[in-house]
Amino acid sequence: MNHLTWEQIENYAEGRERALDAHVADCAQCQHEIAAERRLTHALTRLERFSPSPEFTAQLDRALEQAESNSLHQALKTRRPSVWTGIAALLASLLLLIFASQTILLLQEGGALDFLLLYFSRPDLLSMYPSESLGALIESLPLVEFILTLGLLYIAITLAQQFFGGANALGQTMGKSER
Amino acid sequence: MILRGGMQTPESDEALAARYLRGDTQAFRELATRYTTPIYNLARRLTRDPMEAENITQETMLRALNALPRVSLDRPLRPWFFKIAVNLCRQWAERKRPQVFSEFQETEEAGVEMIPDSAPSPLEQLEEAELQAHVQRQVDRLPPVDQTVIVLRYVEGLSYEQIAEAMKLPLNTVRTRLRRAKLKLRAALEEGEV
Repeated sequence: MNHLTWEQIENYAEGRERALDAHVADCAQCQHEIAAERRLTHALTRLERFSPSPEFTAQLDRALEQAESNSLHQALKTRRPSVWTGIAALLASLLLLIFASQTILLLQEGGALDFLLLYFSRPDLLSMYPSESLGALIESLPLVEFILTLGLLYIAITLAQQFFGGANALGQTMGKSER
Repeated sequence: MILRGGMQTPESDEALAARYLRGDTQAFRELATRYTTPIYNLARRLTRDPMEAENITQETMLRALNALPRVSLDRPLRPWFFKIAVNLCRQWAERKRPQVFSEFQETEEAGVEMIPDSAPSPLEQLEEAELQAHVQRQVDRLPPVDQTVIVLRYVEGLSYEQIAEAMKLPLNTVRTRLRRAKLKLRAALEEGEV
């Protein structure tokens, strides 16, 4: 007769593995093992439980309060919107304006704007010379200025997000502390 | 507390943590209240020093408070709290009693009187109390790792998987440890060693 494994005995003692009822009913050794397992489990679940003193509980409460206050200060420190970020965002925006206006001027001077007007007024003309038209358009575009303008736009948006994001986080932290 | 079907059921640990992260500082106090005694109990058992147990409990709570924003609330927090406490106990043991946490130490065992299964009579109650005291002594004599496994399993009701997570041990090691510890305890009970 195969006796129950350790795991089966543990499970059976805890009320699982009821499929083993028939074997357990006929097997004195497994019955003994299960009884011993139950007795030990019963004793282990009733082990003495140490409790901290009420003084410690009060002390822990104070320590947590202090830690929360410190984390608030830390949050204020790290989330304060940096003045330098604001200045950098402003400078980036100014440069963006200069480059954007320069790009528009170059678009006009290079004939790209005229080319676009022509495209809308005489599409048939351009469809007759598609490759020449595309070449002319590319030549008329101030590509370097255009790329620089886009780069500056990205930088200005990122810096502005950092600045305003920090200000919002600070507001939320302040609200949390008030609650 | 949440009202469900007219009965009050305690809010889950994860719900409390989420509430704390939304700005309700009281929610963490509730978590701390929930875990202070279990963690103190574990630390007290392992250090056998009330002062050290208090220090470890307080440090556990402070670390939990600071780390909570970085913890995934998709998984149960219970093993996570014990994990912090077990780590601190381990560090304490390394400072005070080198290697005590990693070695399976054999300790002296003493005999015990045999006990009946159940017992409502005064004599049986006395025997039951003696059994309980004996089991307590035998558990105290187990190596700290095995004591931790026993306490987490039978006092705190953690699953094997949760114990493995809390103690950073492979699941099979937890099974083996628990089995070995229980065999020792059973042998002590059945053979009447004190």
